[in-house]
Amino acid sequence: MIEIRSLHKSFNGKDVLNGVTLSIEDGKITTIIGQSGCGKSVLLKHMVGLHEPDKGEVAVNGDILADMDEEARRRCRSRFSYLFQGGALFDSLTVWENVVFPLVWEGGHHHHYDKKELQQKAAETLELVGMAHVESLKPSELSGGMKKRVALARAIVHNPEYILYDEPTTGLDPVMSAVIDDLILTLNKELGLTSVVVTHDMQSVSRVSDEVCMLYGGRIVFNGSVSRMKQDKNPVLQQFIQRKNDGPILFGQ
Amino acid sequence: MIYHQAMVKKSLLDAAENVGRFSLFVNRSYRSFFPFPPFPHMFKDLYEISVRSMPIIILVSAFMGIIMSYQLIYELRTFGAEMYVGGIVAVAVCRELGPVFAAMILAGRISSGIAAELGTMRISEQIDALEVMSVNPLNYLVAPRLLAGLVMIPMLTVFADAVAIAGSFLVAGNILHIHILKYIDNIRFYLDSVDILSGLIKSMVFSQIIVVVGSYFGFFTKGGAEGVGKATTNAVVVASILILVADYFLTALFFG
Repeated sequence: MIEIRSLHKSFNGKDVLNGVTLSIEDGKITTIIGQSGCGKSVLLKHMVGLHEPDKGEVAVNGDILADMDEEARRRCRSRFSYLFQGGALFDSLTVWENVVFPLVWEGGHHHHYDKKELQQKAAETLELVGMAHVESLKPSELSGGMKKRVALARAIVHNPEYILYDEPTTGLDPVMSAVIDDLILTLNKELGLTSVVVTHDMQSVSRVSDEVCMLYGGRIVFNGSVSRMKQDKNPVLQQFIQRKNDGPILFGQ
Repeated sequence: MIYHQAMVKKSLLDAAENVGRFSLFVNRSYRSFFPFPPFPHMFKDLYEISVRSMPIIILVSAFMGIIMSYQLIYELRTFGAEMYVGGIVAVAVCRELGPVFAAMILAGRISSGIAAELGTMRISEQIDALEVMSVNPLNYLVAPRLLAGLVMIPMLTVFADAVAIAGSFLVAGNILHIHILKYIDNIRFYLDSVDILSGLIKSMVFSQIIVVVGSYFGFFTKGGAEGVGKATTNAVVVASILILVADYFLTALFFG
């Protein structure tokens, strides 16, 4: 379980997170929605310790991230995977080298494996995300959707417990978005992964979410199921999910 | 007036912050050497720093030797001392010009390349991806380059020295009709091992400046493609300045 308690974060004097409190339950898909630039990715990065809170704390299974020493943090991070918005594949490596990277560098140390064994593992994992026969390509030779799927393969290759998705369907066509949604659901149901998805793709939210949270003004203004989200009276939430121009959320805010 | 005071104060604070952050970065980079980077992982950096830099080093060093020789022969003729050109060129090149010229060229080639690569990795979240996978980005990205620079840049410097001396012989041999053995004898008479050694130690220090400055600016890049451009420019400018400053202190240390 990931617990976020009274999290505050500001950049250059601008408050981004202003007392976020949130619990991510194990085995569920929790979606975080909100306007572009409202701090969703910042919140996600706090969960894995890529950002340090100004105030408040993030705890994973009761252990506070900020209190962990380097070794404990390394152990904690090995239970996580993070799907970055642009994939964040390493340009200098081929697709298969990217996919097996978390195994080769498990725990932050380089491990020697048989090359054929690694290629086999990469091919199997790529097959899971529907990306067979691209093992020897470089990331620059892949389309946006292919990069995301390869990044997803890299994210699941070491069997993590938690997987954090940063806008997994942004910039993809509807069919590819549906493919990614299905993969998120499959990973959750079949491998039992706890997933946190940051997105503003409402179709994706309705399809994959067990829990939905809305971030607005640096705070969580809604937390509940998809059906509750649709019935909730919160004008900010309703304006956002109904894609309205007029309402409390102002253009450019 | 108050505005100007505030601006000066802000500039000083920014400079102090940068110096502090750079010092911490250098400290963390050297502490990240262990576990030692695997050799195959270093191979690309060794190749990039040495083989890929060779053509420009040969070109610049050869012209440096040729032009120096021309200038010296012209001046030394006034005193009838043109036969000493080999010794003078060798001492100047091994002590000073070889290491500094090679370092300046490599600052333009290697520092900018490292800053651009790491900067692009930063803005495309590849460095964050390394951290999430518990890989120390300094151990993975900076330590292999520091080691590759430490091995390869002194070697390139020796090579640059040899090419410059050969270039100078082309001119001296042609104008003064000196035999190559007499030319080498002249060099051996004037050139001490301390001249070569001081040049090598200088190039070792310069190699670390070249890599660490490029890595620093790349590592802290922000602001998209524009940020990568700024990081690249800053890396070359700062590395060049630091090379000259370090050269002054090292020269004072060896020959002061």
